[in-house]
Amino acid sequence: MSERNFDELRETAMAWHLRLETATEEDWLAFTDWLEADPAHNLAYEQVLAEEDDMAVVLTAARFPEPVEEAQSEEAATANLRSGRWKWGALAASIVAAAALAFQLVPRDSSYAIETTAGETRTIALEDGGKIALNGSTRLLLDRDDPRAAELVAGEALFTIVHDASDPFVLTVGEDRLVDVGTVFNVTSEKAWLRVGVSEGAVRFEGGRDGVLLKPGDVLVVDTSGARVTNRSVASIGSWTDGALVYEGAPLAEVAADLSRATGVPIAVSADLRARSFSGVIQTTGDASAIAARAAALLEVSIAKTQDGWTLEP
Amino acid sequence: MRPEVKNSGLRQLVTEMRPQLLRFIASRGCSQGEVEDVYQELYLKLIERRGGPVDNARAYLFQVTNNLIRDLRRGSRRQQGRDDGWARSHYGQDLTSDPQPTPEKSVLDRDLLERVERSLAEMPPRTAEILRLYRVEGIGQKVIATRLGLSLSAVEKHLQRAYRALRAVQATLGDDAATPTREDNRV
Repeated sequence: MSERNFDELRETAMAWHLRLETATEEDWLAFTDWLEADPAHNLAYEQVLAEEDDMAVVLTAARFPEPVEEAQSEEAATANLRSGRWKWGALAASIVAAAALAFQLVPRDSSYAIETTAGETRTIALEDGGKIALNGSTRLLLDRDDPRAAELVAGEALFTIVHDASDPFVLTVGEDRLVDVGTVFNVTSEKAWLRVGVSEGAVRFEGGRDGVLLKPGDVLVVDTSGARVTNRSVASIGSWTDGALVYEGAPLAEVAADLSRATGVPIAVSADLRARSFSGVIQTTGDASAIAARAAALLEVSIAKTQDGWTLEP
Repeated sequence: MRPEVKNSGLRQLVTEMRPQLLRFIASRGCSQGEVEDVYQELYLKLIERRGGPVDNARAYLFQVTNNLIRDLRRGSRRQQGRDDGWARSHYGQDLTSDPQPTPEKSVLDRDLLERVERSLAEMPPRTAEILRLYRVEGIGQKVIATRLGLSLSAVEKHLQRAYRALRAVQATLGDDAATPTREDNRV
């Protein structure tokens, strides 16, 4: 027998062994049939048993990693997602209530990371013809075994996704999921907030318990105060890929975060300016100080250099 | 609710199920003589058995039978080890199989422990946790499923993944662990 066949046999034997712990009479009869089909089947099964015995002592002695706390089970979370009722309050609450989908955050063995440093942008092509443009300071996890899944750990990316209704592209951001419904969409994930803008097609946002369908021009912002959908011009969404930041009534904190990504310099907003918003376009071509000078003029602020970076001040 | 069966009922059932049980014992690679021995031992075990009624008695009898065969094989593996130890002390170091602990073996075990711990750390945390509950705490799959709010098949899949990873660890051990699947470290 070839080694490959033996591996497969042992895999089957192992599955049987685990099944037998909770087997019904029918399972035992089916197991008998399997054993009778080829004497090699019993040999493979014996080997699984012997290996389990060999591991017994070492497993008792081994240090196991700390178990993860999970508020809800995988299946319960999935069931909740499918129930699909949408309430703003419930969404905000579910985002704060951590770990409903923590299962999906667990990196699978086949996952790998793509990262950009501050100020660096990068576009990656997907096998199916789609592409993902990463803005600066961004970390994205992709899965070799599942080209239709990604996780945005931090930063911002513009997703151009080839739609396949039978196999939708799913982006995980923290505890939330974004499911494409034929799409170009932009996602920004900061510690305190998440922003999703759709420029083509549609995206279904699935917070821990509820979902909302975002259409072109919709921009969803989720922060500690809750979730809201505003409207922007489609051209403004993901415009950073063309070297322009487009705003319509955006809080300065959001502008500062975008400028940080573009320049690679951490930018804070002084307390006096927190309430101020900005509408307009900031070009992000040129070096950091050129961008800063341009932004300061447009935002009508002054920029103070601090130890940690820059601060926008009145 | 499944019907519950008391001990007297179990002995009756073991007679009734004799054909299926003998067939099962034979399919587990037992010789003609062993088949009868295992069946006799099963019968004796049920006479000696203390404890409450069993549910799903038919599956239970298969389970007990399978455990008897497993113990039998364990015994012969240990016996094999003792014989090899004796033979080596009389005939030298030429024998390949050596399940007896020797100084080299304990060094290997420490290496195995390290590899196993590394493998546990690389598993998805929930997979490692389910493996711990099942193998170290000795908790059954059904109870684990209820406790974690998972389906039985989800628990089974986690355990399959964990076993596969442990198998890969065993496959990467030194040359003396002569298994037929040396290149099986892809997982």
